[in-house]
Amino acid sequence: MLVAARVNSTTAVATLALGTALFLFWHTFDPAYDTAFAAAGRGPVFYPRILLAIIIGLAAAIALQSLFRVPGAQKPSQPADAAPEKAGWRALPALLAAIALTAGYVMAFSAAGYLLSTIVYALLLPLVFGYRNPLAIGAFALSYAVATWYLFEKVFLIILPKSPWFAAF
Amino acid sequence: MDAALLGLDLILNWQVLLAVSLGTALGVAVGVLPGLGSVVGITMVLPFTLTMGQIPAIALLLGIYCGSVYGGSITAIVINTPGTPQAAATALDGYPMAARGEADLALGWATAASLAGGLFSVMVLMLAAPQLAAFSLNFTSIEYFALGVFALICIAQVSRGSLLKGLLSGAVGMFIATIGVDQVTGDMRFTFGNFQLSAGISLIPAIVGLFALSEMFVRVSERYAPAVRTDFRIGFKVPGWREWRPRLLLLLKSCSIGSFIGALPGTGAATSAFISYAEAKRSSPNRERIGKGEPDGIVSAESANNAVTGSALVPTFALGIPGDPVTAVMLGTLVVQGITPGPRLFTDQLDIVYAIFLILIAANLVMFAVGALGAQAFTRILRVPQGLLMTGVVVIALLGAYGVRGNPLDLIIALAAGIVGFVMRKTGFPIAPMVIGMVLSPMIENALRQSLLLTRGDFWAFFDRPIALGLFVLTAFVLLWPLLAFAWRRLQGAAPPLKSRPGGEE
Repeated sequence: MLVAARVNSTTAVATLALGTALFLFWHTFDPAYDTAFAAAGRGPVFYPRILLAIIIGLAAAIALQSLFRVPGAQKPSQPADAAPEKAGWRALPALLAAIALTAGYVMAFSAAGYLLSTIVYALLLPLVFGYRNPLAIGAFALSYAVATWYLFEKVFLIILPKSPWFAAF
Repeated sequence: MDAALLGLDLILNWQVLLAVSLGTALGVAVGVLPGLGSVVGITMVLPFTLTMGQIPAIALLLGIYCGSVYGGSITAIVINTPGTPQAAATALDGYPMAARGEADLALGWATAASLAGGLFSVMVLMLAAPQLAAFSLNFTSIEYFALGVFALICIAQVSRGSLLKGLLSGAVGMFIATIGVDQVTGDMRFTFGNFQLSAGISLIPAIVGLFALSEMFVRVSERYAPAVRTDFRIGFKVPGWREWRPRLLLLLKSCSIGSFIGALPGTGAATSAFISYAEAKRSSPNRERIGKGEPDGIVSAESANNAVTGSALVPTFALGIPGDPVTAVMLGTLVVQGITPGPRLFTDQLDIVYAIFLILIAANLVMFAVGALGAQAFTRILRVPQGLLMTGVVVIALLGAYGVRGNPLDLIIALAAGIVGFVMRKTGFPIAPMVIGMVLSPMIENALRQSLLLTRGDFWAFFDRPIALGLFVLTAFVLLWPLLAFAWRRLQGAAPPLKSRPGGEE
C-alpha cells in the first residue's frame, strides 16, 4: 500500500512535544537530582521520568501517524468550529495583534498597575475584533476598568497592582 | 438529621441566597452566549470567591454550573444556535417549534424538563455520594492509583479527537503538575533555577488560559460572529399536566440516562443529551415527529443534560476525582476554600455536604424562575458586540488567575496556556484531558509512590488487590476498545476499510 509523507500542523505539534520531552528526559539525569535517594530509590524524577517516556512514545506515534497517512484518508480531526485554513491565514495579523496585546497587558499589569493597564487593554482589544465605535469602546473601557478596580480593591479588599505614578491606583 | 438541619442553617442567610441567585442568573447568561460555557463562567467568578465565605462561594459556583447547562437551550430554541454543546440536541426540536410560533411552549418544556433533570440528579447525588464515599474507605493508595489512571484514560478516550491525542494531552497535563517542589523529597523539579516556579504551575491560571484566552484567540482568528436575530418576541408557557402525563416515563428514562452518564469520568452533558435524544427517537410513541418540533425531543435532551449536574459531582465529592474540567475547577476552588473533597468530607464536614445538596436544589429552583421570568432578557445579551464581550471576559478571567496567589507569574502562565490551548484546538488535541491530568497527577504520583513503598517496589503486587485489579482490567478494556470495536465490525463484515474511516488518524 502506498503511503505519502506529508507534514501538517499535527506533525508540527507532535514533533515539538517530542523534542521538548526528549530534552526534559535528558534533563532528569542532571546530577542535581542525584542528591535525593529517598523512597527506596524512587527519587524526585522517578514519576516524571515515567510520564516523559509515555509522552515521547505518544508524540512519536502521533507524528509518524500524521506523516504517513494512507492516501485518500481524511484530514486530521479538526474542531467542529475550526475555520478553513485560508481564513485562518487571513486572520493571522489580528491573531498576532491579540496575542501581543495580551502579552503587553500581562506585563503592564504589574508595571503600570491594574487600572491604567486595563483601560488601555480594553480600549485596544475591541479594535482587534474589528469593532469600530470609539464612543462605545471608550465608555466601556473606562467604566469596566474602574468598576472592577473599585469592586476588588475597595469592596473585596483584594490588593491589585498599583502604578508607580499615582498613590491610589 | 442533625447534619441536615445544620446544612439548612448554613444556607439560610442572605449571602448564600444572593450568591445562588446571582450565580444561576450569570450561569444562564454565560450559557446563552455561544462559545462560552460552564468552565469560562466559573473562571470568571473565581476572583469573587476568594473573599467570600465557604458556603456562599460554593453557592455561586453551583449556581453558575446549573444555570449554564440550562442557558444554552434558550438560544438553541429561539435562534437555532445552541449556546453550549449540551444544548445542541435541544435545537433539533426546539427551533422547529419556535419557527411555527411556539417558542414560549418550547421554552416551557425545556425549562421544566431541566428542573426535573436537575432535581433528579440531586437525589442521585444525595443517595450515591455517601455510599461511594463509605465504600472508598476500603481503598488503599493502590486503589487510588488504579482509579486515577482509569479516570484519566476514560477522559482521554471520550474526548474529541483521536485517542492518542487525548492520551498525549493527559500525559502532558500530568507532567506539568510535577513542576515545582517534590512533595516527598522536597527537591525542586524542572524549575531551572527560577524561584517563582518552585510553587508549581497553579491550576486556575492554566484553566483561564486554556479556556478563556484560547476562546478569545479562536474568535479573533475566525472573526467569529454568530448570526443573531434580535427582532423576535418570546414568552414562557409551561405545558399542563395532560401534556406531561404521557411523557413521564420518557422523563424518568432521560433523567436516569443523564445521571448515569454524568457520573462516568470524561462523559458529560452533551453526550448524555444526545444518547437520551437517540433513545427517545427509538422508543417514543411520537418518534415519527421527533426532529420536526416534537416536545419529546426537548424533554429527553434537556432533562438528560441537566441530570448530569448532580451526578457529575458524585466522584468529585466522594473520591476527590473530577470527571470533567468544570468539576476540576470546582475541586480546585473548594480546596482554596479549605474544603477537601473525598471520603473524609462525609464524616468530618457532613453539614457542608448537606448544605451543598440544598444549594443544588435551590439553584435548580432559581434556574426555573430565571428561565420563566427572563428568557427574553437573556437573549438580548447576544446583542453585545463580540469585541466588548470578549474583552470583559478576558479581563475578569485574568483577574481571577492573578487573584488566587497574587503572583504576576500566574498571568504569564495564563497567557502561555492560552496560546497552547489555541494551538491544541486548531490541531484537534483535546484540552479536557490536560486539565484533568493536572488535577489528578499529584494524587496519582503520591498513590504510586506510597503503593511501591507498601509493596516493597513490587508493581505486580498491585494486581493482588481485587478492586485495583478490576479497575486495571477496565482501564485496559477502555484503552483497547477502539481496536476491539474495529475488529468486531470486521468480523461482522460491516467495517469500512481503514482508509475511509472518519478521522483518519484514530
